[in-house]
Amino acid sequence: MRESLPGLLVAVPLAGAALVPLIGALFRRGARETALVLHAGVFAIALALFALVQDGAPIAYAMGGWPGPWGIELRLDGLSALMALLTAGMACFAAPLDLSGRRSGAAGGRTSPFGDSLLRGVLLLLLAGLLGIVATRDLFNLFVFMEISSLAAYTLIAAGGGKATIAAFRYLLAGTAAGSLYLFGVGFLYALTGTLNMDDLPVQLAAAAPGAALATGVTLIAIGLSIKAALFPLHGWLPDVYVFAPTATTGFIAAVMAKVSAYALLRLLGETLFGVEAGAFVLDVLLWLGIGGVLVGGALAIAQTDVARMLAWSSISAMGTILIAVAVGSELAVTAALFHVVAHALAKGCFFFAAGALAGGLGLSRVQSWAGLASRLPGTAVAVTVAAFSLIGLPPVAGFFSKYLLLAATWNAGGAAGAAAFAALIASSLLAAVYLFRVLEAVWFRSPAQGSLLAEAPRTGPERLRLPRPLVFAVGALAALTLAGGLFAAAVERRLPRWPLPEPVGAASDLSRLDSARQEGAGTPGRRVLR
Amino acid sequence: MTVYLFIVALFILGLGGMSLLPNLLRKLLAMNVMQVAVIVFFLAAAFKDGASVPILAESGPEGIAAEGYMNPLPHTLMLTAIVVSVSTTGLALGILIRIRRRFDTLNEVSLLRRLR
Amino acid sequence: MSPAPGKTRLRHGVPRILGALAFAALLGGLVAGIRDLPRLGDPASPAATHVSPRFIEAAARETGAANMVTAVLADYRGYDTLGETAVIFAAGLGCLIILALAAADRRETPPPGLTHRFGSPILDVSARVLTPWILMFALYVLIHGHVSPGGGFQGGVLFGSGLVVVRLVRGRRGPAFGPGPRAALVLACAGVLAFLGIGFLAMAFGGEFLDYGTLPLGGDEAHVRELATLGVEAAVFAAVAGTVCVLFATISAGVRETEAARSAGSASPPGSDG
Repeated sequence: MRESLPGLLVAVPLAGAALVPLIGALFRRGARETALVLHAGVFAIALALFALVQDGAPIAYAMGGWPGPWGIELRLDGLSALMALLTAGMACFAAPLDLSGRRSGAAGGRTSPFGDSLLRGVLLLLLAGLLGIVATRDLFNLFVFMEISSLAAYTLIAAGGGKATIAAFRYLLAGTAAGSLYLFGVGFLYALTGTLNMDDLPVQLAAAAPGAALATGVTLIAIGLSIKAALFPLHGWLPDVYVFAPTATTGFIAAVMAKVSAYALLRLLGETLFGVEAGAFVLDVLLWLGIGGVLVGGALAIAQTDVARMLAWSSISAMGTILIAVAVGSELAVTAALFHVVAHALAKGCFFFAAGALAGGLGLSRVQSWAGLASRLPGTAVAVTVAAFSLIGLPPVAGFFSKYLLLAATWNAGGAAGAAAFAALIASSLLAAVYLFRVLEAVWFRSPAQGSLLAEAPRTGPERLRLPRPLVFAVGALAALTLAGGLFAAAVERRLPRWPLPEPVGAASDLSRLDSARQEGAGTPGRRVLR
Repeated sequence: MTVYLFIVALFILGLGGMSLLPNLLRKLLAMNVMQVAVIVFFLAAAFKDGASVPILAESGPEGIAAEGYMNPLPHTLMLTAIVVSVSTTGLALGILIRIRRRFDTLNEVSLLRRLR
Repeated sequence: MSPAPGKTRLRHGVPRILGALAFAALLGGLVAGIRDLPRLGDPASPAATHVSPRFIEAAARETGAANMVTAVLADYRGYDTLGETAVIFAAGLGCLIILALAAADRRETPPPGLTHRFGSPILDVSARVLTPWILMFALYVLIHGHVSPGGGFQGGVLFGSGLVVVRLVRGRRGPAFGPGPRAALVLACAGVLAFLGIGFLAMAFGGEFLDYGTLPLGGDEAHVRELATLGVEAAVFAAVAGTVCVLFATISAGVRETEAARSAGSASPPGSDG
């Protein structure tokens, strides 16, 4: 059973993506329940995999029984199992929500004759695509699953209708450009090595002479994945998408989608292409771009009056933070990056679900309109506060510990870049404090404006304000997890994988070959010296 | 070399068109040009001097020499890439129809003005 | 409707210069990169000597397919093809959702005020003559994918297009031909599920996902793999043909809506179809 789990991790959500619309088309009901069961099943598989790889031995899987580099291999190690668990978990929170862009209350409007089953199928496709990216060891297969996740994401965003369709189209252009740049880069690597397998590639590259073609290929791959990861200055698609997409979609996409691309960057630049001179140079550039992203994202978040748009810029800042840690690449830095990925996904998911519920359901989209929220929706106010603390990096929630680890990692890295990264991280927390305390002040210390929805609503009784129950559950659970991540930070940190990752134990990979190739390359993976 | 230059030219034309053209439909067409460049690039890697198409000649499976046939792997990959490209274009056209109906224009500047 | 004159371009000033610089850098990098690539057609290039020789030399023996592209597509890298099927299925679902196909299960009935006439006697007769051949050729392309160019995708697209041609020529007045939107969606879903089902079956018989060799179909492994490959291609065929029909039904429903809105709206004359 252990051996077959990686295959099921991708195959089950894919099967669900076809099964749920089929049930919707044939029976008109049962689709939602099937989708929920499948999401829970995928989460259980991811959880089992995460538990199984805790002993440090990755689980390799040869699709179709063909070993790499001829066939496509999957591999779940500590890093990919963590990302899979996070992705599948966040999908479970989004799955029960209303995926259509309908404003609650406006029950009318045109819906598909197949109900929501199509949208639920597309969410499963998005999940399958992201899990496929996380699990695969094949460069081209990564492209295919990147496109599955992208097409599903465009659909879920455009389902919001109106302005969301424009945001979706612009995202489609950016995402396809990213995919093509990535594929172009893979083409360079393929022409130079003849292989697409991430384990075989370093071996072949060690034999090949480094040159301009290799540098071009590596750079193209990095640019492509940076666009998908919304790394400054390639973040242009992100704010509109996060603002106009339906609530459930935004919460899920903002929590995990860009991070999966950052994961792919770490995999390729930090592991597969490690030792390639151009890769090290690209990582240095990424470090400075990350610093730029942290500052620009934070500064522009302050300038926003719309809560969702503010959070979107905050996400760009957070992606910069993660990229800094990935570029530093030390053991501590990668641990910190992963902790931050988890903490940020939980907090941002919570915040976006809450913001979407308030903006979509009640029309409260501006920071000012949240004035007095604590008196009318105290539970939501508490959850938002926990999330905001985590995003700023205040104790005792998860974000504090990830920020702390990040600061320690950049401090230890040394050099001008390390110092600049350290300063940028401090600045990002200060900027986050400015824009998030503005929200918290409105929520806790202001009274609702005269005649506003919050002022009119009674505090108790059947007429009091209420949010849809699945949303309340998602917001509350994510806030609780954020808090738990802080209270049990040591336990969480212990379960994060150690970088560099151990080599796989599997029939498909020839260990001695890889080791000798690594030694011929520049040192051990994960030991970079910053300039 | 000439082929590669041609591919680079196509790619830059496509990417440039995607960022500079004001009309969303034209952007989409430019996107297709860019994708074709990548597809041709992979196919160029499959090419071998004096080799035949990667379908086994009738002589049977004995004594097959790799030099005699083109590399089938890039062909396979690009079949997939073409389908991906077509699918993306189809979805993009669907979104464009929706945008055109809702906003009555496909000009990016006008549409962005609506977004703000 | 059109923007103010002079405001058709987005970027001005500094961003435009930065953009131009970025493009120049990309162009320079690409040109430098291609100068360093192996010569076009070099039989000793890494792509020609590593990994791919096995596909050429062993595909027929290992998978029973004379067409190496089919062998790699459906067997060695069948997982990629599953992903590809998922992509096209995603596009079908996406269009269906985005264009919010209304009244999908209603059979074709001309809306009031529709003045378009599709086709002509010549088109009609041509379609009658050609359609059976198109559909049969689609099946040929599917089945012959093992030994000649072809396969599930190509066949599926042909088959779907063949059905669409009839609709295009006959319009909505003629008797319904081919699957309606609901049936097409079911067909597409069933195709994807059949592909996955073959993969799961292989798992149930003790192999890896999509490891056709373990299927108990009798005969030697190459023969079993050949049969399973045909099954996979047939599944892809169904998924693609279904998706093509879904796409056409979605878009044509949109056309109907526009026409109805126009004729209900004002005196705008019925435009040319297309």
